[in-house]
Amino acid sequence: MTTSNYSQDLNLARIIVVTSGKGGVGKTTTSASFATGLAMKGHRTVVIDFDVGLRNLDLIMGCERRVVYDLINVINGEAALHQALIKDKHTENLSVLPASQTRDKEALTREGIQAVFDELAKDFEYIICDSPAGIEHGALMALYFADEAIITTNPEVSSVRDSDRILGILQSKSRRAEQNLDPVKEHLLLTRYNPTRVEMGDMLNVEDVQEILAIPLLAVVPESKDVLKASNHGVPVIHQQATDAGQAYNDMVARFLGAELPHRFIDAPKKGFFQKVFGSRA
Amino acid sequence: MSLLQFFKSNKSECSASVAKERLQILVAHERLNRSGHDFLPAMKQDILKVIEKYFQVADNTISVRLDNEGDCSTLEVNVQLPENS
Ligand SMILES: Nc1ncnc2c1ncn2[C@@H]1O[C@H](COP(=O)(O)OP(=O)(O)OP(=O)(O)O)[C@@H](O)[C@H]1O
Ligand SMILES: [Mg+2]
Repeated sequence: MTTSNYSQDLNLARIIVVTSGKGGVGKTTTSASFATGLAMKGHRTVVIDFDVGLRNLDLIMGCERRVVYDLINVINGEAALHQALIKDKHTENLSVLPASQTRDKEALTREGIQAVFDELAKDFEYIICDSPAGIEHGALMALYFADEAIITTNPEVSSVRDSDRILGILQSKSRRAEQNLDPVKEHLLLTRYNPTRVEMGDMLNVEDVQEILAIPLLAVVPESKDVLKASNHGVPVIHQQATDAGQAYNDMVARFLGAELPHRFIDAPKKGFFQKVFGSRA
Repeated sequence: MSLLQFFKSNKSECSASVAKERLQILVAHERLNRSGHDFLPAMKQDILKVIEKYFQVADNTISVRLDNEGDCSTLEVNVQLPENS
């Protein structure tokens, strides 16, 4: 546990929201690999799908056929927490709490979530919240209790702008902001990064995004075909350690846990002179 | 700088730097708007205290507005002074 004034609560689980504002930037992909990575390092981790009505995390984690109960069932007292939690098949220490496919988002209440978190905190060190897109109720509920936030951002104007809005919300509407505690710790995760396009000058580079958002960079995840393949199989891409994306997520987890690693996947693969001048646009 | 970038930058500004510039302006404005909601009431009270040193004014005779238009922000302070001042 790193933050000093967390002792406010009895539970000492660290709550981390993966959020973005903009949709489709890679929150669910990131939640799945990040949670898996923490568990692989031996940390008891649960990853929760907050995308009520549009659940997807179960598919990316490959446990969709084992979903019986969901977060809303637990909040409403229709199922016990242990009935809704799905133990991951590949990774020890890892559980998934799926979202409801049928209810509406309003079923997510602060009190309900608080109760679920308090119970989870008895068994888990890390609670990862996969936020829905937008800045409406579902997204606000996903970030409210967060101690840390993974600001998932694509190197693209609307994504950067939305990330900045989410930062504003974290700084004003989270529990930590409302109760004047230490602020939510913010991490920039730049994903779907294409170094070749950056070098061509038609994609924002890491420094640009970092300068605009002004938060510390946790990792750069390159645009990679392996992400789609991994989701086809329902195996988080971090398991594919031969791939760039898998290694990038591995670095992300290691850095999050305190390792100092140089950033990778920022530079385009070196090409010969002729390829540089006449080479294909990636 | 690669040869390719050199040729490109001679023709026109690359689109990534246009994006960065637009974002910097936009984000600065949106942040100002956000914080505006927080500090405006406090600033209004501060301004009022200064004015009260010289004039007798009531709380409701001062209005403070922050506006963003294009790439220019304006702070509009309106104070209605009593008739006999
Ligand atoms: N690094 C990457 N390289 C290539 N494709 C990626 C990468 N990360 C995510 N994707 C793809 O982008 C799409 C959206 O990803 P994902 O579902 O993780 O985003 P999301 O932010 O959770 O979306 P939503 O806002 O709808 O919940 C998916 O098709 C996924 O395979
Ligand atoms: Mg998602």
